[in-house]
Amino acid sequence: MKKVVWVRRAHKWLALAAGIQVSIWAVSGLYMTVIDLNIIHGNHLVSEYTEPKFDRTLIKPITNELLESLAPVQSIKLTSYFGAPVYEITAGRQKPVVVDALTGQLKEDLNKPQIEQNAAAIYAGDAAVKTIRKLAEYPGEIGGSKMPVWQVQYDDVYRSTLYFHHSSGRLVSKRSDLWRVFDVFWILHIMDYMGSNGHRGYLFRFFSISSLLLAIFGTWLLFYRLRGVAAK
Amino acid sequence: MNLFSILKKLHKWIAVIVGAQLLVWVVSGLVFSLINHKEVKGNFIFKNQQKDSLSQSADFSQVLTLFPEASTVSLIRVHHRSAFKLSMKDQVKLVDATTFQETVISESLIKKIATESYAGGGELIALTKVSSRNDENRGMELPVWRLIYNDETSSTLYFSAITGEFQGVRTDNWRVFDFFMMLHFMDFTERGNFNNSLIIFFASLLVLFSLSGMLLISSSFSLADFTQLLHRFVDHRSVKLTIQDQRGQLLKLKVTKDTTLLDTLFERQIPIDSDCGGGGICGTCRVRIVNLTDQDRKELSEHEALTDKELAQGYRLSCQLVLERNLKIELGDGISVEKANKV
Repeated sequence: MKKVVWVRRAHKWLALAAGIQVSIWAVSGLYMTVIDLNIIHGNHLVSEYTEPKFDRTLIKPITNELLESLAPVQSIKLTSYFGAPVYEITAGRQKPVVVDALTGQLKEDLNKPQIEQNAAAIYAGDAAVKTIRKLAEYPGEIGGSKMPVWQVQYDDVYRSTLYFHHSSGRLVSKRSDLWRVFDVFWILHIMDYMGSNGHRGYLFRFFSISSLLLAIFGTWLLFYRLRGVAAK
Repeated sequence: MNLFSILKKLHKWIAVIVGAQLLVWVVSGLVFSLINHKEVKGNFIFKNQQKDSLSQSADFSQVLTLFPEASTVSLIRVHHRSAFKLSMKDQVKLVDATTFQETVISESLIKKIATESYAGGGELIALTKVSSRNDENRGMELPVWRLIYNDETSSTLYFSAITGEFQGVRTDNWRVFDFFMMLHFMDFTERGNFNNSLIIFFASLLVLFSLSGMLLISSSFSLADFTQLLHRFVDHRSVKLTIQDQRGQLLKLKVTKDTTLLDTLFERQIPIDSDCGGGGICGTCRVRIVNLTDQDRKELSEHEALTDKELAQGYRLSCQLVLERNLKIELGDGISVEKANKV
């Protein structure tokens, strides 16, 4: 059998095996490169918000019992979100514990009007608020932590959504359909179908090796054809 | 010109432009899946030994009074001592938590911090303060202390030169990974930016390329491709034939079932003779069946041309022998398989 016959046959069978995944890589890759990552991250949804200075004289220390119950403490951060000063205490691998800097006690959850105010202060779009809800857990699209979170949904075509920390009021995340599509394409791109270790999975290796051979045989055929054209 | 020949031309000429980058994408993708991601991150090189808890004694109100321009104040540990990290509009300061004096991370202090937390197997060979942006300190707050070790992954540890906080570790695996990232993103300036116009151009071409390829699959396959493949595994129409000549050379063939051996030998250009042209008369086309069984038939004409003893030894006329099962046969004197058509 002539070599070119063999190569062409290999090229077409490999295309049958890997062609769909190569197309998925191409389409998802194009989507991810065409849309600016800043827009995917929803940075256009919020404005440059300057935190007002909190009244330093009102700051109370954290109560001793509270601090001791959290030991060993790695760091304590005093800052403010939308004018409300808080301590964020990092201890262990947990998410920071939020303490009200005006009382020194654990900070209580914010209510709906307060979240509405925070959202209004930072939202840069012109859509109306559709829903404001306190969710018992982080939804999957922001990582699924077992903590409550405030969700503010806007009435626009991209279903833009802002998430705020349940007690500190910090803006936790920004999501839109552009992000959600990106996320699906990303999973398809790295073939992360089984969850955590898809990127190193055998499925991915099978398809990347197949497509590498496909590309090598394709390159061989290309040079074969181009040489033929040049000979004429 | 029909649709498929247009597609073929399109596929070929896009390949000329996008082919090299496609190879780069596939190879770098393969590298990403094969490389050990734990070693890329290299977090096992750094082990934080500061397990002691921060105490309450630090006075947040006091530091805010002294440094009113700070918008965020963090109490952190710097080599087992407490310190305030003050974030201001466009700078960061470090202040001792008891004396409220501004402090700096000296060369000797960073050496202590690093020695305590370094968990690799090498020695410190270089220690420098870096204030300019480069490939390795991307995403870190400058200036940084850079500590180079001579371990097997050439680890380099980075600490903030202002607060002493760990910024990251760079290993040889990270450097390989980062290099392929640059190639994958076609981003030869700032890295990590995959929204550049070069990659958008090539990605658009790749979409056209892969979709034209997918359409071409339908034209390049015929039903016969699949039936042939099927017969490779499940075969009802052919038998295996092993031919052995007097010099001991073997030839193994897959041949069409239910044809005569003589036709098959002719077809394969094995120089067997038949004086009568396959009439079962002359006996010149005789061969011997090596794997003879009781079921092998003896045709009437074969009784004429061959003796009973020869028949019992397995001699048959190839013009009368119909290939029904896998056979091993031996050719007569002077007939060689050497010039046979093996395909």
